[in-house]
Amino acid sequence: MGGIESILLKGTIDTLIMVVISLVISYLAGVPLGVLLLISKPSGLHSRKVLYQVLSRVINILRSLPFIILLTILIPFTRFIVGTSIGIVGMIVPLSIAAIPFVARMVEQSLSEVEPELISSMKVIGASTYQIIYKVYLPEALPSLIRGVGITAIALIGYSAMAGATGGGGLGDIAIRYGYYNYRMDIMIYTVIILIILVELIQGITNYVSKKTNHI
Amino acid sequence: MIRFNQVSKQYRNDDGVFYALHDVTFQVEEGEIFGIIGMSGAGKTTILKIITGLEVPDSGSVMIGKYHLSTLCSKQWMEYRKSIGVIHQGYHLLMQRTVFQNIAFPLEINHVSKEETQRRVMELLEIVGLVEKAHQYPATLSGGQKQRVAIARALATNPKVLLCDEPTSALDLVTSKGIVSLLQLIRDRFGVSIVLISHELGIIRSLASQVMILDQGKICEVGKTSDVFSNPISLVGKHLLGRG
Ligand SMILES: Nc1ncnc2c1ncn2[C@@H]1O[C@H](COP(=O)(O)OP(=O)(O)OP(=O)(O)O)[C@@H](O)[C@H]1O
Ligand SMILES: [Mg+2]
Repeated sequence: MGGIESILLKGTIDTLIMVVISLVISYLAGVPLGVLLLISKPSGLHSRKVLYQVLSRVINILRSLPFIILLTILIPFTRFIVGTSIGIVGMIVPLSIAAIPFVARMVEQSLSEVEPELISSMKVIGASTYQIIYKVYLPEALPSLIRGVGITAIALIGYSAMAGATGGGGLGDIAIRYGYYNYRMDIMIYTVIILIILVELIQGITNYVSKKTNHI
Repeated sequence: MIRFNQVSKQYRNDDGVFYALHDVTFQVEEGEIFGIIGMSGAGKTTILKIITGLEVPDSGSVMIGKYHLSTLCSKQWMEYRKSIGVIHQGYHLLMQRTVFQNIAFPLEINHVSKEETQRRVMELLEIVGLVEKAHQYPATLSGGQKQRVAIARALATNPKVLLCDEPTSALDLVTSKGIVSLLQLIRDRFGVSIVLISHELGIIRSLASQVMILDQGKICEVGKTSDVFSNPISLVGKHLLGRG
């Protein structure tokens, strides 16, 4: 049994590494993009029609591509960036690129829950656009943004499991290789249980933190 | 202090364009409380939006203190906005900041030092009577207390003009009285000019030295509150004030 345990442990760690790194990258890019969407839209603080339309379209296209297709299309690009298109390193690029537009939309959505009247009265107080973003939008939407982190992380776990089918590493890879090809039903079941636990944990933690930071 | 000269503002609706304000001229003196009444849609909030720069008039001129609004560059707007304080009908507080941090917001925007902010916010909390609520969040406050936070925040930068849009409409009678005496105290203590929009005639009568009645964007009458209230000339005035 020692073999199975270490295989599952390594798979879990690999999955977590993929998810955490992709999560960080997608937020580093997704938050500014979400803010840009928010302020450039027709009712935004700095309406820029063309920019908004282009950005919005590109994001929609990326979001409508099935992950497995995106993964395949990106293989040359992934090789170029990280030198390989397989393993956990090879998965970080497509996972991040799949998550960035997702995060951008979610950030836009969270921030637009802040009431427009509140924003205009902050403008009247004299806040600049920069100050409104950092001191009003982001802090006021923080609980909602944190829930979004949970949703993104869970989506990434799903994608990363799917990536296992293409030699991506992590729990998905183990489920396919041992569980499916080698008829190890036990390993298949264990990976599924671990995935369920991960999802529950992420959901629980982010909900908790979101509640703790919310003063409404 | 405030001078509106033949100010007009048009909006577009389904039937075309209409005047939200039409040829509006009035003056508010320093340290005066100026009441504005009128039916819903009369253009009261539009006047406030023009003073705050959220809307730009189509014609006419607006002077607030030394600022000629149509000529301000963005840096002057920043400076001008420090000289006005606004109390909105819906409080507009930051829900994820404490009472203290809400009142400190305008100071933070203007890069006031920590020590000075601390001193000023405590002073304002004292004035509005919320010292013991300093570190609570707005969600835990009553409507009247939220309005007091909004008033304290509006006063933070020592404005010359305080604009109040229906400051008591969401409050019960007793709480409203408290807000009214607070506004009175602010006027007496700081000599600010106050523009007070309210549909509660009692409040206008007890606070405002001048009152203006608006109807469909036009001024029906403007004058000393006691005169207008005891002897309204216009039909709308008579109707609103319940005379004839
Ligand atoms: N952005 C806008 N676009 C089009 N019409 C507008 C806009 N803002 C206000 N209006 C219209 O202008 C008129 C005056 O509005 P305003 O908000 O000044 O009324 P008010 O006197 O403050 O009314 P209330 O007592 O209901 O607050 C109304 O008919 C309103 O519908
Ligand atoms: Mg109004």
